[in-house]
Amino acid sequence: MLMAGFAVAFEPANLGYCFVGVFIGTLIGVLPGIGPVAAMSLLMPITFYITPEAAIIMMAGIYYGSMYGGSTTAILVNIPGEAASVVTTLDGYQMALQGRAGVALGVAAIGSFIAGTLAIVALMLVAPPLADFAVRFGPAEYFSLMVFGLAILSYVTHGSILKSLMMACIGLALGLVGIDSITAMPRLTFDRLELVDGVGLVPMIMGLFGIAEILFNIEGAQQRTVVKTRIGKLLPTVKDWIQCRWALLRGSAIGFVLGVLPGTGSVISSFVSYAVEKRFADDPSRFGKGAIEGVAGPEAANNAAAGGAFIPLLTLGIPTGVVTALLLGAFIIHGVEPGPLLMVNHPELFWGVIASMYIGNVMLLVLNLPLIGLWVQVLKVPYHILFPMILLFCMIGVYSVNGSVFDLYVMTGFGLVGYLMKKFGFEPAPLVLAYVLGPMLENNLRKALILSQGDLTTFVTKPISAVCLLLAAALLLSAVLPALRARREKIALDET
Amino acid sequence: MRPSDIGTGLLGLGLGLWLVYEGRDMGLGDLHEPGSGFILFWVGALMAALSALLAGSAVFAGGGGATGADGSPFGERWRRVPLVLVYLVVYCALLEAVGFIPLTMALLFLLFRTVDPQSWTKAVLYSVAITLTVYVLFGVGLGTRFPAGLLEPLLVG
Repeated sequence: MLMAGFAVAFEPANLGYCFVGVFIGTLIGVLPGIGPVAAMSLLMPITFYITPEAAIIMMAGIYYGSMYGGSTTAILVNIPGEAASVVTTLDGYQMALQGRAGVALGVAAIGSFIAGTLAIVALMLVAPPLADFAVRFGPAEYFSLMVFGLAILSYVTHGSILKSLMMACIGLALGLVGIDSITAMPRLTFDRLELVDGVGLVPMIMGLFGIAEILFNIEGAQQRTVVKTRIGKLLPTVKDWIQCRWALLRGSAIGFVLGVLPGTGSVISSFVSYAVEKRFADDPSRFGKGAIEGVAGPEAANNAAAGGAFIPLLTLGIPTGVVTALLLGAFIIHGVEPGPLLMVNHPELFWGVIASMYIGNVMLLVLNLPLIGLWVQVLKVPYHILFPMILLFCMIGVYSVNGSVFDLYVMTGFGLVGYLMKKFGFEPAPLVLAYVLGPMLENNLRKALILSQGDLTTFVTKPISAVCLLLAAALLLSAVLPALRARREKIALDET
Repeated sequence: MRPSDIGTGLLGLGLGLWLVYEGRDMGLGDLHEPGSGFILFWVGALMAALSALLAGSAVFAGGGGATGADGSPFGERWRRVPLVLVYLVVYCALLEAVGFIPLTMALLFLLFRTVDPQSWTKAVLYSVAITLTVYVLFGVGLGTRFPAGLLEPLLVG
């Protein structure tokens, strides 16, 4: 099947979209302040004109490409291009100051390639049996799985659980706008024809992440200083490799496992990897002063986590973070239902995406090493040019979907909402997750109740459903219980 | 007391109660056959409860909850934010009447003068160059149909 996947991935058009995805992902990763979510939102309208395989291949490329690009900014500017690269600034920037910027960039790129490749191999091995198991799911099991997906919110968010759950409620309500698929009754449409199909995913996410991000950035002073040192040779020496070989392997394993687990993702995995490397080091005092393991481990971890995050999405159809929620949105827009049947109904898509990730990793290695000079130039593009252009691209992106001015108003409105949410400590990620999961949750709940003739115990008497609900309860409890909450908040604080 | 959380809590409470009302209005059905408003009702109820909890806990909590040095959660250049939003809303309102090319030039010019103020010459040059490049890339290259507006006789022929 993987060979069939490679046949799909090697189609010239798909290769092209894979390249576009990883290139833009790296570019976005390099630029501080603009994340993969904003980039994916910007490019989502373009995917309407291409095949589902090409669309998902490109969107996935942006995601794991941004993980690569984030390290360049972290090492050269001491600003993380991505949240997942925060920890890379600690030793990467110190290496750059010591004249070893090239080695730091090289080990980050090659380490990312090794970890990304290992994660894809693990994804190939784990996904099929998990999908086989998930075929047994009925409406009750799916409902409980969606509840579990929503409980993941408690780990996706960094701040107040209360605020996250409020955002989830708003997301659920937004997901219900439009015609009820069972009774055909219009809900919360305010007699606007434009809302009959619901609130558009593209204007919503572009407003919440693209416009809001720019509004947030323009009210503060923006300064960047690219380290003035010779990039030097990029390939680490044999001594460097020996020093960081275990860090790369441990980082890959940590990243993959934490990437699969809901809500942890690439940010936490990079911190965990750094902590583990410091613990294993002969001389922990080197960390923070340019230790190569402090770059290799976290970089491997955040790239492996990007691969691991695809497992719950491709096999169960549940997103574990906002990036995978966007990918889920892209699947739905293209009429593809992700989940256990994806491998059966759309094998070319499933295996094509996996194979393209492998090819994408090779492309990233090629992009990251010789094009370091280009990325350094990109870092010098002033914000006063960049921000107006991003605003313009948001407007064009949304308008090009339906040619609708109403969508532009929706995006601007969500831009303001997203900006205020940031200001008052509310995160947009739970809202988007709940918006995507909401309609599926409602449909499965209603179907399960109709099938069980109103018997609520159906959700706890079916073993898989009961386990999902138990896991959801455990996740929520762990976020609320004081001791565990303190630990979780510490992780969140460390991340920022 | 955290005034910002009290405010957002009360706003959320209002929103939650409105969802409860709308849910009831649409019909709750019963457990055998839940109606269109079933989920909306319970989502609204949950929202109202969580918001009340947030507002309540904020009343008894310590700290001001503000983030800025001057006690405000907004940055020192916050005035740019409403300005940019006004530009965007006006852009939406006039797009079809005025057309993509002239209006985008005007929007970019204003953004270049507002975000990090550039000289008039630079702002004009940047906005004209970017608008034309974007039009060629998206409008001509990718076939995106932008409103011609005032330039309709020229562009559509």
